[in-house]
Amino acid sequence: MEVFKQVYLRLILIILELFYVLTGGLVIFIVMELLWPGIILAYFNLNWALILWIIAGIVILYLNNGVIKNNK
Amino acid sequence: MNNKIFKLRIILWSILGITVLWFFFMAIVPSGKISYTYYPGENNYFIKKLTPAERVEYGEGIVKIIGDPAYFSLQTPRRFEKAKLTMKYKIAGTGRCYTPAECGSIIEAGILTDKKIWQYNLEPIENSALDYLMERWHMIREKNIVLLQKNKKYEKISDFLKTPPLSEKIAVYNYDFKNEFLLKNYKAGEGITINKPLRGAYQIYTYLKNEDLDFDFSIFDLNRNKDADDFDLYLHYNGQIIASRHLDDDGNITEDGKISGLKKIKLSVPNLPEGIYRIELKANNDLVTKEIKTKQNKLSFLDKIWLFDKAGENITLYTDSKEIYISTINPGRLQDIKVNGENLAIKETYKQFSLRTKEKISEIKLKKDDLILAGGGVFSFATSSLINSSLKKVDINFNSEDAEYIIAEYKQPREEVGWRIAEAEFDLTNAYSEKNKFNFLISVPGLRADDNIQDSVIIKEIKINVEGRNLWKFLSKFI
Repeated sequence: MEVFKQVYLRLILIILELFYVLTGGLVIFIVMELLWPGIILAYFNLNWALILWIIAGIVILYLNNGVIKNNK
Repeated sequence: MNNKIFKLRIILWSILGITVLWFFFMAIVPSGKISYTYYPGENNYFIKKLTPAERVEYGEGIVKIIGDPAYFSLQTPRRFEKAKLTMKYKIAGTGRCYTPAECGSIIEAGILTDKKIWQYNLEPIENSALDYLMERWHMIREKNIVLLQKNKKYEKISDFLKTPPLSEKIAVYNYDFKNEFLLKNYKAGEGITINKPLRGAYQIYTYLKNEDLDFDFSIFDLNRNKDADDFDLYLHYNGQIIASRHLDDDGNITEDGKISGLKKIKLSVPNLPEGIYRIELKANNDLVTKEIKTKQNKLSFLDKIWLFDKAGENITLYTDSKEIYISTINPGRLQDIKVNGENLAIKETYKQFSLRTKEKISEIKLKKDDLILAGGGVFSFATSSLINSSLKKVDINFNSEDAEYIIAEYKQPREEVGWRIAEAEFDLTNAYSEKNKFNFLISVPGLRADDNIQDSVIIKEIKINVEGRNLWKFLSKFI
């Protein structure tokens, strides 16, 4: 049970880190795209990053019942 | 735990950092060289798909061009100076032929150089008439310059250029052959006045001998389109611009349809040597030339002429074009046209109707005006004013009996497992672009979408290698 709890906690923390980096990435990419049109969209569809970011956000909101706060 | 999460954080942000650097690397192109490839059917940011829909058909990994011309665009992340287009294609269908005596197939690729007059700089992709003759006539090749001789006379291309044969015996393709064009028995006359209004851009051939060049143009602005309607006049001699005039817009850049007052522009140049001169009027379709008055005796319109809808009725024109294309955008000007007595019905607007003729000079009788006439020759309002210094061109109307010598800048496409691969190079510094977006076309003269012939040009791949300044050269400017 303790092992399961550890894995569960680690997963939440990984998703949280992913959420942070996706947030930063999205902001950087959008600013880059605004300053130099096509620099990102030529190679990468930002919608995918946005979808992943939303999913990560929802998962964190759903799973995080004070778990992260207590274990940080 | 915290240590592991910290490591993960470092890794994730490093990946993001590397990704950002990679995006900058791909946009800056530090080496100055990059290649973009388009496979039909895929979404490509750099090379957009071929249009218009009515002249292209998409299939599994291919696109068929079924009507001439088709367009596509190239979006580059920054400025480049040169582009090399490589096209993988094949010609399909029953309607096309492969001997110059029959019809020949020509494929050319072009880049838009002037948006005002929709001028494209065309480069050859394939010329089947030339390919056919290259196997049968005596050929001398020096790099991309080819000299074909029906009967061998010249050993080198330089010999041919030094002592060329009579111009009637020469045909050219994609080559600027400087031939001295002089008219025997020419005498300066009383001049010509053309009072048939002409719409948009045009080019004039005229001839001078012991006289001053003197042209008066009367022009008005229709103001039917939004853009500023300024225009430029250029006088060309031996491929060089020797004089120019510019006239600004009338101040009305709206599309209110208010016709401007008449503007007069004079092009007068004294002491010019004897020879043929080309006057080019670069203007958009809002500008109408109401009258052209000249002291010269010869005046012909090169390639295209658009008679405005106040030109009148029962107009006769003459041309040396072997194929005449006529269209109108005015539903009230649909009509039957007589070309050397033969009927050519203009039944629809925005559609080009054509007729081939074997006559040296063809007479075109129009019942009504507002028609766009085009062809690979010149047009004039009188046979006496016809003049054309252009040599015969190896185009779809070329016949091997038409010439004894052909000089061309042409590289044959190579074959690769059932596909042909051809290359064409373009100068991007002279091309028209909007935010580094360049417009290209693929022209297949004679290919029509509505002729019920199952012919097409099938394209499998379009690759464009662009080349420009590298990062070090760019930075050295500031050091």
